[in-house]
Amino acid sequence: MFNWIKNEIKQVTYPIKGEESAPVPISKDLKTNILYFKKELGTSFDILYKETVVGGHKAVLIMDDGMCNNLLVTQQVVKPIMDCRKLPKEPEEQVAFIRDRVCADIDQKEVHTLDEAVKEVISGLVIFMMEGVAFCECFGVQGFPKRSIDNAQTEVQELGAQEAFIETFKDNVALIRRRIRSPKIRFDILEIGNSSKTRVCVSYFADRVKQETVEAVKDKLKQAQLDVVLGTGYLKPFLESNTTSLFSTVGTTERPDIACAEMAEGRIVILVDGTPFALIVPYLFVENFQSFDDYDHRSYYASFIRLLKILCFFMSAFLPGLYVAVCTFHQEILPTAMLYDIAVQESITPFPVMIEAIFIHFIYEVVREAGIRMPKAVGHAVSIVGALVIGDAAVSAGLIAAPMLIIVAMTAISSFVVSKIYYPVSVLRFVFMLIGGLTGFYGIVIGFGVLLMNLSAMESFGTPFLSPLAPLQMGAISRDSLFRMSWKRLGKREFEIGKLKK
Amino acid sequence: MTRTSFIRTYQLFCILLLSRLLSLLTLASIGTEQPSSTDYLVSVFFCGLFILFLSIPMLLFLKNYPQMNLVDVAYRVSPIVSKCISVLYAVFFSYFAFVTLSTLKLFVATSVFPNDESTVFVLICLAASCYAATLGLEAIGRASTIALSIFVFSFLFIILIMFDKVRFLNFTPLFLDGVAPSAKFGLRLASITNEIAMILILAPRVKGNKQKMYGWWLFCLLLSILIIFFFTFGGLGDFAVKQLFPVYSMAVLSEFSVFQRFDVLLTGIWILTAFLKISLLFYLQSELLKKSFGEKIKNQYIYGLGVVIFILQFMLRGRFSNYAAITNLTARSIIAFVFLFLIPLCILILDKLKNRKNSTEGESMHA
Repeated sequence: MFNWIKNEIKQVTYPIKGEESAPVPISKDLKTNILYFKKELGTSFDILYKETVVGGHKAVLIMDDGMCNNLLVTQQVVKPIMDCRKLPKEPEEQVAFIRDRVCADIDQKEVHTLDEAVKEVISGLVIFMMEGVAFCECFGVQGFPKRSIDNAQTEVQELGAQEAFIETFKDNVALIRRRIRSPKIRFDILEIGNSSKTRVCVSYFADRVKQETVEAVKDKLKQAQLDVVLGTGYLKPFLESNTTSLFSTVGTTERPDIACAEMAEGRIVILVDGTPFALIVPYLFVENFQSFDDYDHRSYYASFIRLLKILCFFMSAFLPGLYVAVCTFHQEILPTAMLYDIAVQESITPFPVMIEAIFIHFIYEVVREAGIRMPKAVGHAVSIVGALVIGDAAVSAGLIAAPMLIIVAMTAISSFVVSKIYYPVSVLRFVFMLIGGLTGFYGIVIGFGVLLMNLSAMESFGTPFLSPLAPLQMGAISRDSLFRMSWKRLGKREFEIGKLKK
Repeated sequence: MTRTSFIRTYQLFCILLLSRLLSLLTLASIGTEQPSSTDYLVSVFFCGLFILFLSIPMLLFLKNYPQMNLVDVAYRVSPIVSKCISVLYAVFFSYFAFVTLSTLKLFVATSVFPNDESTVFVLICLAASCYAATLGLEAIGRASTIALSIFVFSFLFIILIMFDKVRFLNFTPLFLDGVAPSAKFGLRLASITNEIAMILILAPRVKGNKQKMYGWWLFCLLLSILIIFFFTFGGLGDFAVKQLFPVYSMAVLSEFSVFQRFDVLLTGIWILTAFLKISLLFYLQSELLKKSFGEKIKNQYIYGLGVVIFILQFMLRGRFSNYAAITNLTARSIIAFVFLFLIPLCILILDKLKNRKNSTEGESMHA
């Protein structure tokens, strides 16, 4: 069966091959170099070749039109080179003179191979090559279109900074640097994706993260066999725990302040070029119940909100399943009056409680998904139709019992409170409804046990995912996990995730 | 290469306490050795004495071989002895996995789903336990910490709401039928303490002071038994003795505000604990067999045992009398004596003798 699926997949895919060809050195013959470029980059209209004569030697400027800032190219590269009069005689000296004297005030890089030169052009740099010189100069005048820094869309905060990461990763690095001006911060660059050559930045505090952890993260990223990397989600599975689970041991954030806070606690933040989200490792389960606002509120309120979120997690995952179990198997636990009300309501519906619960939650998920993917104006209409269909018509028609609607509403609202784990929780909910309907409360207990074991087995770069709950560390629990101490106490000692027991 | 996993002493404490409390909660009143209600409280004292006696070889092991388990020490005696010990203890743990599941099934079939088929439930429980066992000791240790917290909170809650139901009139005069029933029941309580064997096998995988952990474990265990018996017999009196599952009957009586019958909550905790215990027993038998015979297919022993136990359970289905074998005091006492006391003691003596022999040979060679 599995072999058949594997063969079917092979028929529609091809293996990703790494580029194994030997690097081609830059020739002293300019024509050969230009031909290589044209062969590699083809007839793409956005690649510009400006051939000219500088100091009596043939030269060429190669750039990607869309990736460069044209004004900068003219002002900082083309004009100074053209205006240059007193150049040395030898071509190599001329290039060095241009590099050190003429275009000295912009980013520069000397490249000796044609493959690398091609890569720099498509990254937005201007290449300057001269006849008789076996290297080229690259000038950093990138200027591609980008979005301005805006509010966070997925992690809305009541208090705190209103800035979020954007798609350009250098700006994201700047957003972090601006907040923490420590010389100990490191931003190591990797290139992932055979075709996309996406830049991935591994950021951390050099004095708070063990070097082995940094190397482990880099190794895992390097081992990622991908053709293109267009988002953080592409890299997530390669950083996750070996134990298969619905929950992820890699955190995500689009807020630079959260990224900074995580780094300050000894975590590693991974920025991926082209996406406004950063990955966080190691990531713990309790972090799903924390938000940046917790640190702006007073500690008693922050602790209260965290406990509320934990309660909401249990409600969103288990409430429908428990309702189904109680209605099907354990009616005796309910007070008589409540039992009577529920029995009257449920007796008029045609389906068993389990089918009813699965059906209504399925409809709810459909409406929610439609509301998210549709254009905003239509999305509202979908929500209204959904609410009317589910809320009013289904109950009036006697298809759904009113208590079930209350359960759906409570579950839905609770799940939005713990939005970071919405997806695993929504799947779990269906599983527990099924178990609750088939085996009652006791089946749910076993399901919970399996979930608990699964979470207990997970580790995020050596740190247990359930830490500090299991292994139990009261110090960490009371400091800043389930509860939060006041800043007067938190500020006295620095917390490091590496210090948690393994 | 697989990494050897370690747990801390408090995690072992949680595993052992949960495991032993489960044996207590699902203790069925089958057999003739039933003391009167107050004598149950006294039996805890006898139980402590018996457990201490059975633990002597284990404590000697912890003192003399802190970084070795029973199989490692047996290997020093002879590799064949080591393999025999591995097989024997794997069978011992498998038997207790079977007993735990049988007791759970008996409970489910009589109290939870009296009209329904409990085979599906057993199958789910077995599948879940097999999966949990494959996750390893660290996962079981971590999960046990949380499970014990849930257990303690839930049980405290039930006990709290049972407070007003305790009547001192329910307690019979002390030693109404003499000391023998109390002592016999104490022996029965001690005979289900297979946790001593768990310590013997898990000791080198535990970081920390194991003797201290054992002391705390025994204290907490006896205290828990005492509290549970006090509320069960204080609340139900001799009526509890007539119940198949006395502790369950206590939970049936508990009610809070408009909510009633918290037996569902208690049963849920039992099942969670049983699931953890079965997982641990599966894991232990797998580790023992893996160490001596290797493993061709990943987790073959765990899934193999799962299938065997399911078949046995299926055969036991529907016949109440079939459960007598798992509740027989004599059989259990002999098993406990052999596996918790006799075998470890023999291995200990054999190793000492071999050491002495080696040292005398060494001295004569030297001379």
